Amino acid sequence: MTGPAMRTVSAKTARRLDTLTSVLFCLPNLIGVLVFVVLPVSASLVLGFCMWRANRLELATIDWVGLGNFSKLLGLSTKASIVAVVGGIAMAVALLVALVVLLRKWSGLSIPVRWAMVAALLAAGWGVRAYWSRDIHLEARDPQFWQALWNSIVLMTWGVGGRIVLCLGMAMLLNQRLREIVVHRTIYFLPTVSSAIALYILWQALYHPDIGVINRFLIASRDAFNGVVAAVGGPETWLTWQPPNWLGDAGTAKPAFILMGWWHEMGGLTMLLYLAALQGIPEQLYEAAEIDGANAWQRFRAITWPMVGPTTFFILIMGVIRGFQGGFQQAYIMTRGGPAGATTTVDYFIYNRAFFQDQDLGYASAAAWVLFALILVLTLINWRYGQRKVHY
Amino acid sequence: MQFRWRKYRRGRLSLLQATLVRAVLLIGAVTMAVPFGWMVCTALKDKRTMDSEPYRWLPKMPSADPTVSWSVDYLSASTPDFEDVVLRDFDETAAGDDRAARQGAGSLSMAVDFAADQTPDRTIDLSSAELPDTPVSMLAFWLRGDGSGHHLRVTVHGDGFVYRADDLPVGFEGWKEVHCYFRQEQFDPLGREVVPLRRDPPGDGGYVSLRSIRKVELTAVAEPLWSRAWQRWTYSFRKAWQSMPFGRFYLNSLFVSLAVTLGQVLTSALAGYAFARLRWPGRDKFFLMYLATMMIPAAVTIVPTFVLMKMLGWFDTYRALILPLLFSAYGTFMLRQFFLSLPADLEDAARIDGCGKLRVWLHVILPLSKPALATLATFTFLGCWGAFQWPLFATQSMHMKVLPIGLSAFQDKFSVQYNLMMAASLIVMLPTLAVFLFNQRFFTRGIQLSGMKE
Repeated sequence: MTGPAMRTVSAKTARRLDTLTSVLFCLPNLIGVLVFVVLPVSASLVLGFCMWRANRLELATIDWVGLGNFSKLLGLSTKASIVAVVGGIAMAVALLVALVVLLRKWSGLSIPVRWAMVAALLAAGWGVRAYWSRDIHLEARDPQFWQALWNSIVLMTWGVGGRIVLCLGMAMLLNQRLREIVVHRTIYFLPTVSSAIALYILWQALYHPDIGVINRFLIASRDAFNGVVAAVGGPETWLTWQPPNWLGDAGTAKPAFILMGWWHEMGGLTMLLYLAALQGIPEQLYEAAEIDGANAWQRFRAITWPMVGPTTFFILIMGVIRGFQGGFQQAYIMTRGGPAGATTTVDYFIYNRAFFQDQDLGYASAAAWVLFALILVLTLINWRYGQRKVHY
Repeated sequence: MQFRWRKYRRGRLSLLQATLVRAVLLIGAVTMAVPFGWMVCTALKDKRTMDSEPYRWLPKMPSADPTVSWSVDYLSASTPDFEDVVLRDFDETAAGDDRAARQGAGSLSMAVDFAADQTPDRTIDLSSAELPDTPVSMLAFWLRGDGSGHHLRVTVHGDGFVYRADDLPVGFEGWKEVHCYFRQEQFDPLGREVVPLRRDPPGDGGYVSLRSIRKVELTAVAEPLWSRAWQRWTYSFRKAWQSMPFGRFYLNSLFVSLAVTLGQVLTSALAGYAFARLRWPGRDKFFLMYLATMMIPAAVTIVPTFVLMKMLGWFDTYRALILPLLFSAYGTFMLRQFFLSLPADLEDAARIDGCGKLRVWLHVILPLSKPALATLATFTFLGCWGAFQWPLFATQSMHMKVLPIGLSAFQDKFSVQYNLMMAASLIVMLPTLAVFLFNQRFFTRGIQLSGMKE
């Protein structure tokens, strides 16, 4: 738009033209987001109230089931008397309220009172639990979904907790001035740049009960120990335990996944975030603390931990969001959700119902929306209560 | 937030502290490296090494002895019981569809087991044997290789000629039937692999009278050590590469990732510029909407997108793999934040000089944003290269699979043959690992621009 042209258009037209070009800039992305995000999300919401078999993808075969999907997903039933149920719910709510009140007052309490409060809460929680388990037997209408939810919570909690501890520890170690530190950083970063699928296949092999490296190592250690015991005159075979059937046993499948996750992420992007945060801490703080005679733990507690607070908060939020959404790939490659559904996360549950098991797209969409709502609530809680704890 | 790969704390550690830190780091590094080490070792093994008991941790070196030991099964070493073999061959094994191949002619049949530890090269002397005067068209072998990279040379003295076949490759696993024809043409009615026995002096032999065969010599010829080692160690890789079209998977992955990266960077840069620098009504509301879409789990969108692809007839095509990923709220967000940090003066100067918006974007904004664009491109490419869920559901046929899906299909096919699985995994992993090891900054520099940027 050169001078003469400018003069001929009014200010209003110019503004409209401005808007038009701006929209044109946005248009490619906008269309994409509309078609591949907004449209699917709306469709998914509608599908959540329908039943639709994936093997016959005709619009005519969609059946409206109303809230049926959601009530089947989340529905619970019990044979307990109404008094018992109301009483149980009241007790649980009271416990929850007490917990929230305590959390709000937490910083104002003295240490012994804190301990007393925790003890009282634990006792009350135990009592409520005892009452629930004695009088109220809840039965889920879709136990598999609740199991998947529980699996997701367990994997997510251990995953995020372990990640924060391990990665911070690792970052502090890798932040030291040692000659070979870059080599270490590289080795620890290797799993992050490897194909995740390849690593899951690798770990499935490592976890093999008979010929897996982990169990070979465990057996070799046991036998070596027994050999030593026998050599000094002890019994022939002192230790008789057998190594676990890692992925084949419902009790050990989740720990196996968690361990693998820690190995995978110990030196990965989370560690780099912490490393960046540590590199951003001014050295003077440590020098001043040293002059004041603070020991290593005090320095960590008073300087390092608060200074990496925003990073921890970020990792926590992202970890919760991703943790709830994740778990499909591991489960698909290593266990197909088994054994007995022990590694079926919500994510795997949704895809399994949509594409493999029932192929009911409506039910899967409803489950996806439940997951969405859950993530939203958790994120809001995190923002609400987490940000206060962060010292900037 | 500053981050540098080669930056450390300034303070020095005491000797005790340094030793402790070193010890912990070393233990951790071993934990990290052992699975990778096992992966490489397993991929370098052939089947025989995998099956060997007790378990071998390291791949086997080929034996330094150039002559391999072997035995002839059908014929005992001292008294060759030929009648048996030949009659058996004529009457029993020449049954069913095999009969067609051998009609009117017999074959001399034996089994050679390279794996058995018995005597080396041997000559089967038939001079004293009473053999029927039957025309024989071929010499049939059952070979079992030991994976040591040997070739077998077969020499047959018959009808006053010398028939010879060099370089009969000895296989790696299991028994394999080899047919050496006296006929000079290489045609087998059953479509089997045939080896011609060349006549010396040359000429068409066709059939040889069984009675005239005086001597059969089998000689194992060793290749040089490096060649045998190469053959043995790359066995799993070659087998894996042949069993699935990994080349095609590579091309698919590369094409899809490049297309997605290019498209995403382009659309994100355009939209990011509009959100950062252009003024238009509803801009910030729209931007909030964009941000909100980042919270939506993939599980919500994948099912309807899958239906959409089916209905458009795009299922199992490149369109399905690429188009839904071209538009990213994350990229738009990241680039908008970066554009906001650029000085406005340059842009204004360009405007005053008469540049339109597109020109400003192309000639001022983009060149200034190279680091951010490169970071976004890296992250997008890596994300797309490793993406699993969407390609798994959006494609079906073998020639449309991308690398991770191909690897998963390979796992379904060879679920417990760990040497093959590890070789396939390494085939998939090696390029990214190589890029990483040669250019670590490329992978790590994005960290200060991504998530943590406030």
